[in-house]
Amino acid sequence: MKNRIKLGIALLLSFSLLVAGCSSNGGGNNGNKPAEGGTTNTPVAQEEPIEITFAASTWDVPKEDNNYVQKYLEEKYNVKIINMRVTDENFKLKIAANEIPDIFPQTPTEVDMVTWAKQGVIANVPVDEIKQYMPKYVAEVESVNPNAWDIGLVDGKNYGIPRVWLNGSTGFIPTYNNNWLKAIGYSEPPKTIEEFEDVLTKFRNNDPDGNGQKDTYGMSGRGKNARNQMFNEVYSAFGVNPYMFLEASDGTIAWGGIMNESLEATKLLNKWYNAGLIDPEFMTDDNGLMGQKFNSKKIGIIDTNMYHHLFGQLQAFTDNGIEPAFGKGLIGPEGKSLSMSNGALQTPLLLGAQVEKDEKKRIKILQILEEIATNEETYLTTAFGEAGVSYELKDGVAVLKAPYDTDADKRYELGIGGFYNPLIERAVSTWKFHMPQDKLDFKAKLTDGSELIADVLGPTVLESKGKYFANLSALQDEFYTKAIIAKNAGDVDKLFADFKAQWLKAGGQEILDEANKVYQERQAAK
Amino acid sequence: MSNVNITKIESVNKKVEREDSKWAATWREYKKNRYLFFMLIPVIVWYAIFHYAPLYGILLAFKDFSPMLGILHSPWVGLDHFKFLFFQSPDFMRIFLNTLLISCYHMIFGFPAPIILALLLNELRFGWFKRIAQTISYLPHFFSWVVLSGIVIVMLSPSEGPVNYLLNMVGIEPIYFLADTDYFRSTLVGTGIWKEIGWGTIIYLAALTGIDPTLYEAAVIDGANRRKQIWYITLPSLLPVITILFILSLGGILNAGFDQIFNLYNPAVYEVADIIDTYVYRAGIVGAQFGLTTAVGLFKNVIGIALVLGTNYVVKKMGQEGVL
Amino acid sequence: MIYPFLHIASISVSSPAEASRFGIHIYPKEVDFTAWKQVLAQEKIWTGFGNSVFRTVVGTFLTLIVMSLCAYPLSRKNLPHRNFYTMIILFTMFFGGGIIPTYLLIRSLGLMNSVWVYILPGLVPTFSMLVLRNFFMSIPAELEESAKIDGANDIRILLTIVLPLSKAVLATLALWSAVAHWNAWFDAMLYITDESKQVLQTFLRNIVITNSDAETLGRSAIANIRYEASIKAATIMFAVLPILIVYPFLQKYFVKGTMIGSLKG
Repeated sequence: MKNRIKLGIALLLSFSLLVAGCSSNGGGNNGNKPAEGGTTNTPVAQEEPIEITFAASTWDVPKEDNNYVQKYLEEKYNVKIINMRVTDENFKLKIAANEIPDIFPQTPTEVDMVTWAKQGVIANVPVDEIKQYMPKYVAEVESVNPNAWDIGLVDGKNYGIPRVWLNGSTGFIPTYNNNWLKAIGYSEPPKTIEEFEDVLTKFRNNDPDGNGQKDTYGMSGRGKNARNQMFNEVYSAFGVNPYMFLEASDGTIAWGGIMNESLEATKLLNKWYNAGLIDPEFMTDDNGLMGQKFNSKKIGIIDTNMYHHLFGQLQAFTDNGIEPAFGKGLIGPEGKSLSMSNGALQTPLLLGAQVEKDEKKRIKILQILEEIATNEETYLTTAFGEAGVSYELKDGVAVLKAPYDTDADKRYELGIGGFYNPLIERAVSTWKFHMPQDKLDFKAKLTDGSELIADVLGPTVLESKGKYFANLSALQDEFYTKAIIAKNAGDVDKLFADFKAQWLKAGGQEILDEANKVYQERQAAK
Repeated sequence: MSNVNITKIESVNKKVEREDSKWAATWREYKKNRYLFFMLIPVIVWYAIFHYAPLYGILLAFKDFSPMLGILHSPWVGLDHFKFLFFQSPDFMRIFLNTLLISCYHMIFGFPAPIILALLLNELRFGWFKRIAQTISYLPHFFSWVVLSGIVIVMLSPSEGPVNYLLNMVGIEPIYFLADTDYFRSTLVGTGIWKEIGWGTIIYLAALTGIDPTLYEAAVIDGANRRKQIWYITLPSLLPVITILFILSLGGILNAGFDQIFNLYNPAVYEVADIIDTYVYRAGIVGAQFGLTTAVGLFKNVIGIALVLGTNYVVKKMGQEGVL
Repeated sequence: MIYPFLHIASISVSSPAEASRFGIHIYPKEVDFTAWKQVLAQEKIWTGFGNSVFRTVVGTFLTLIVMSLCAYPLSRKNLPHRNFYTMIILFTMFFGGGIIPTYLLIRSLGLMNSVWVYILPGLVPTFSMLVLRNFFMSIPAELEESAKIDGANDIRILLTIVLPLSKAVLATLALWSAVAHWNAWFDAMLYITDESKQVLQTFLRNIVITNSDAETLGRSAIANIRYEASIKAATIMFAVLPILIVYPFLQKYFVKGTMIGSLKG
């Protein structure tokens, strides 16, 4: 009996392998048609349109094929566009099933990029070729961050078109409840760490909302998930962020989490926590809860927003009866006002491996991308649609007309957005179309004059990171929580020493070594 | 000489006859039960297509998958993914133990809970009250943990939450349930029961309808009170359902509830809350992919099926119907 | 128990200020139906609803039939090689190929972007089928024996004796299957690209979890960001209410004494 079961299962397993062999990947290349380049020798060469498979966005997905923008691009550049609709969640599976588009979505991470580079899924595009066919775009990218090429470098070869996120060069803005500030005697937000501490103390103890109860806290923290943002204004005042690679005084790369400045900042936080100034529930708070607490007047400070988030929330503040006061980075032991930023560097726009072999297609793609990003007419059409119909220019800013401004279905009918314009909002010269004057003013008010702290390496893949990082970040998250809530101030030093030793031993040293190596290579290449 | 030959031929003939009859007997059995097979065979075909045909994907657990090469031709890496799982995390023991402990707590407390509730609901006299109670009890089942976690956080909040408010009335200090390593696992089990208990009663209530009321009548005549009736009639009648559900849920012993934990945990309780799946999730963000996930799944399922078969064996020895 | 329901219902009709309040929500202090108007105005919510209803009704119905056809033979002790067949089915509960080969299979079967992909791959939920099988096994043998003496074959026995006695369990398994279909989103995410064939849960996730449905969330007009919390709540309510009302309808099957009559009679 048992033998028969085993035999049966073995038979079924072999059946499975047989099926596997038949339905091999060869039969499933949906997104991968061979390019039809101009092969005829007829004297009046109307070349065959080149087929390009677009999958550039997972949000702005056009509903129907042959929409307005698609036809515009096809006619203007003599191409035939195939729309591949994917979502962030199913994209990797489609890649695994060998459905590889020509233009990838904008959302994969640097880890995906390196994995795909090594597996031969994405195309190696020479830097010189990109500079040749996308001169204006490249110049603009380099003006934001000359190191943009570093990110796409894998084993000495370049993969993809470099991208920068312009908002990434702005920092996180500490936002205060202005009614409370006034109630405790501050006419403007605190500038130094000492003032900040004073504000926290008074927010906690002096009943700033005037309801006769001690139910307000100075601040909370994003303790549940995005730990790099937790208490970021305090760490920035000390010149660090515990979750970044930073340049140490001797020119090498150090990890923020084990630097002494982080320890000093943590000791201060511990002091504040034990004085009851920090909401003890910071450990379970995420961004949503923090926002709620601020709006419900339970805490007086939030620090997890950048200027563009705040711009969108102005109405919500008013709804809740809160007058926000926007501060700049705090001045601490570093002697200057510093804010944390995510940095402008992003994963490059990736192209499918088949593009590497098809020169005509590759060049065509680069040309289209250059125009989409920097040519005003092409940009406006792909991002906003038809002038006078779906948008109009007011003072140099493109404003969507009704019903396109509120009805996204109509927008997807046209095909406008990131799907046909993968470089939307990434080029300096065309960014102006998105920035009405009041938003520009708001940005200037909040961010001008701020000096920023950003990760020195940007989104970079380190092999050792893949091996150890899951553990090391858990280790670090645990340490920073324990250290801040330690009852005994004296314990913080010891906890830190233990943590540092363990971190280095559990793979941190290897990561640091590799990070330094990569950094030196990048410096040398300049 | 010829005698030996004849005997040999005779014995060979007999053997052939016996084998012949073995195949023939089987064929006869099949023919006798042919209706059963008319019903069963299409389903087996369905299993073959949708479950066995893709089975070769298990090989991913031993390969370094490359989309360009496909599953069959991707390079073989043997036990590397398993090594990563067991040895790379300096504390595999910790996540493994957490997984087991949390699962066991869920089983010990969470498994009987719906049974008890079903028995209680069964005792209710008023039909409409019973219906309302049932409907209310299974409401939380329909909300995902993504949605419920926000609500749970507020309910258990040391400063705002009603739970601590009630504790305060009895003179107990507020407990930060979700950030306290002493309480977190109990919180997981408690909220898990709160979410699923109502839904879990449904299958038991269905089984309860099949109990012959005359059994109860006879017991009453014999002088048994309600409690004795439940113990001697109701529970034994439920035993078959309880058994099959118990065995099958053991198969998922290493799935300690990723959704719930992922949405409720935070670094303060990693040391008691981190399970295999949450670790793999974090590892997946920084690097590993299909190979590791498949390897982990395989590991969990091997243990699962071993438990199922083991418990099945014990259960059958005790005289109950099992899974096989 | 009822609190999460009240909490979300309340937020769905709360004004922006009330919705963003931290704390307990049982009833809204300020009522505002904008969120519901916004959600119900979305065409895709309704196509999603329709697709979900289709898969739930058709899927559950077919599942019940096929499950019974499978469970009954496996419950008969006289089935030749019974253990073998049970084992190969049980095996699939624990060992599966994973999403890549399944994806390739679905693709080669031509089920990509077809509503039948919601029904065919999940036709037999093994867990439920085994529960049903065990229940069939617990039906007293005398009932079937007397039927066999009267000359009935297996199909007749199944239809006229076994199934009628199993109403309560079948109702439960139907409920399990219906809820599973109603809540399913993973297959839609992998195999369906045509928005008109998406199920309700896909849209729910886009709005509540991945935050990627800017349209419904009203992000196109900055003023509408204020309604985000209520819109999410309203969508959740919309997705939950239909399935909640299924059980009360099934409760009539959960009536005592379905077995007794047959024994006595």
